[in-house]
Amino acid sequence: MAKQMGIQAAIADLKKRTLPGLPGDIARLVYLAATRDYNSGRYYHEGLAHIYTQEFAARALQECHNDVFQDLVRSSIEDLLGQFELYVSSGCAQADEFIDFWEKIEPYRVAIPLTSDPISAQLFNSNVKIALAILRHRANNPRNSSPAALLQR
Amino acid sequence: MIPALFSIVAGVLLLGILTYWAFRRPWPAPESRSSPADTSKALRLELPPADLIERMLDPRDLAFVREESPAETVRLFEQERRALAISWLRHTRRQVGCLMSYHVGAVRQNINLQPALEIQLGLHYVRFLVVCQLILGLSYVRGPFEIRPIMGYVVCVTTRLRGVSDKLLGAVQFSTQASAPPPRR
Repeated sequence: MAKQMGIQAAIADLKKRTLPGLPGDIARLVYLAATRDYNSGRYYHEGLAHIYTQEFAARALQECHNDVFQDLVRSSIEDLLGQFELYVSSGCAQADEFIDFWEKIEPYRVAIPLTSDPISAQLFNSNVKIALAILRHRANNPRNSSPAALLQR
Repeated sequence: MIPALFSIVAGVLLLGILTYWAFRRPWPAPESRSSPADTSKALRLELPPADLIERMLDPRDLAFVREESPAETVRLFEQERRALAISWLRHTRRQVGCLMSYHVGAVRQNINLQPALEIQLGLHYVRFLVVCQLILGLSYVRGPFEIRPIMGYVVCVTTRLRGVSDKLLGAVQFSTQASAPPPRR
């Protein structure tokens, strides 16, 4: 019971203080995936572990990672594209660089939570691939749509 | 001469089949097939989320992609969606196949069979397999978005199949427990 309450408090903390500061769900997914160790798959967050415990912090990060991923999997291509435009416009990289890198290296595959089912993972990968193709098309045809202006910055 | 030869060959074949049937190994005891771990595994089938199929074949996505992107992206999108739908279908079919294998193993030596429920389960399963094959064919002929309504039907049949099997497995477990000897003191 105390354990569950500790995890819930850590989740609430993350959702109240850390995640709202990030621009959109793509940024949140990238951030949460980056808190996961590449070798062990364990989640680490020093600040959160300091306030709560390492175990509670890891569980909270895992839960939030799953939630953000599920929201993205269930969003339409249009919404996902909006999230990508928000992410790119936040200045994480130049639009062309970003599209090139994400299309070639496919870092979104590493951002998938370990507990997600294979069909959700496949749907997410497919949606991202299509969203990137549309982003590239918009970047190459600025007059095609107004949000492309974001990508030309 | 030829009819006599035919009768002899048919007789030998029949004798062979009967001999094989008489001396084949008996079915394994149900205890060895249906341990509690197996039961819980069979009852916790990992069926893919049903709402995902609605999401992946949402016509609004298709309309948006058609409006926003060139023909090659639309083609890529349709290929991706077809692959996804087939993946979903195969995963579901595999899981339902596991459930049926487990079910057949569990009820094979159960004397308290419920014929009506077993027939119902069998019919659901046959219907499920036929619809799966139909969808696989249609997805290539008509495209992935045309199979959306039938996919909903598959979800419905899978749910029913699972419901009937759970009911039957519950009855088998109950009868096994009831017929088990009392524990020694």
